[in-house]
Amino acid sequence: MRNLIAFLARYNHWLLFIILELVSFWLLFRFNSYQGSVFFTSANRVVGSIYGLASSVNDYLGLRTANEALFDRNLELVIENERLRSVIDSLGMESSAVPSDTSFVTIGAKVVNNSVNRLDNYITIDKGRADGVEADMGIVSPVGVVGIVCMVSAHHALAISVLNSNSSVSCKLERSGYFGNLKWNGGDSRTAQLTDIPRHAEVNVGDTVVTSGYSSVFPEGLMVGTVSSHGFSPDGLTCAIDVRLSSDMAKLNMVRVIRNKHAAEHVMLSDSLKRHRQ
Amino acid sequence: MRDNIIRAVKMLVLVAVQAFLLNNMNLFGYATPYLYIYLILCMEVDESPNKAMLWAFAMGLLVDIFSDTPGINAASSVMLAFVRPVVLRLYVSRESLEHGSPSLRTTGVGAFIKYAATAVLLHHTMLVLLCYFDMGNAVDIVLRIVASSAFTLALVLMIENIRK
Repeated sequence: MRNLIAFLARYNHWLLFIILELVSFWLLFRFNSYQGSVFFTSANRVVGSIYGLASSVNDYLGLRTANEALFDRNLELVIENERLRSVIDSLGMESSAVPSDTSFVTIGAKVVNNSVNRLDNYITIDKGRADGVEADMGIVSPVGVVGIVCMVSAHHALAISVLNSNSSVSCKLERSGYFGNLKWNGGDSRTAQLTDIPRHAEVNVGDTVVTSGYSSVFPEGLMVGTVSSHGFSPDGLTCAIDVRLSSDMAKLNMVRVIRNKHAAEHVMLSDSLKRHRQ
Repeated sequence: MRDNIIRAVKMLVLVAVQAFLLNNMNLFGYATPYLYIYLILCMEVDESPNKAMLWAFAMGLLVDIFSDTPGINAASSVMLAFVRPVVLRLYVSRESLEHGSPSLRTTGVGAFIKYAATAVLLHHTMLVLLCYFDMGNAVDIVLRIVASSAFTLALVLMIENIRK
């Protein structure tokens, strides 16, 4: 007996080795047939939450691309929606052929320079002629209209911000359909002015202002902002409306340039009209 | 006590690195490093075998829980802790290293590389055999063992080099 104890004491690490290996193999073979071990289930809850944390970090890092994709898709849908609405309207009046494609395409761009604190603010984006950007194309952020391209180099473009005293975007009140021009007279970078709305138009605070689609720059129905206050112009002929812009111009990042495939045609037509008048 | 806490912290760091980083690697389709055994490799020479095996078992089990491979890493780690003193004495004489842990500095470059390579190869052989036992393709299994061992050994030597 003493010899046995001495033997075990001498080689006790052999014993432990065998026990630990047996436990390991027991786990291995048990798990191949039966998955529901209480220990591993409770441990897996902890592990699962750790993995959940890790994957939420991964998801967070992927948010930018996901966001961009959604932005693109949303813009497509807005344009599509307006096209379908116009088709429905025209069907009500006459049975014209349904237009087969949309005439607007978009180009993704990143804002590389921007200001909001001057009277004439400009935006620089990182896409230029090489990417298909040309002058007089509209620029939108995920939430609203931002500006219009005025100068283009090979790989960059300069755009007149909505916050520019020379900027003028044709807009309308979505609810009542009256249209006017969106201008900016300096001051608060979150508020612009909607001019040329006739005095008799019914305007309420909170009304949505969207692009009118009357110029070739923006398609109809893109979000611009909401009416924050309204009164009458100094000459008393038109409404003076303050519009709270939906996009925060001070923190632009990703934008889309809107390219109208029929812009040249549109411009040619209005130019010939001007010549005709002279 | 203090040594145990330091070792436990090392263990958690190694398990985390293994679970979130190295387990996702599969270089050339074959090489997945199992760096966590570094903890076993650099245990003190005169560490008691029982203690070493218990640490190895705990560590292997943690890695197993994170890799959904119950028992495989635990079995391989315990085996490594069990044979480690023998492997160490093959290359490092008792006179040259009485106390402390084996490292590039204490054992010399050649001896350490031989010791680490043998240990890593033993561990990985058992691990891959347990993992891919039913795959039956011998060439595939050997490639996996050799490639993973090389990768692990490279990482071990890199860490040793930084610590030196």
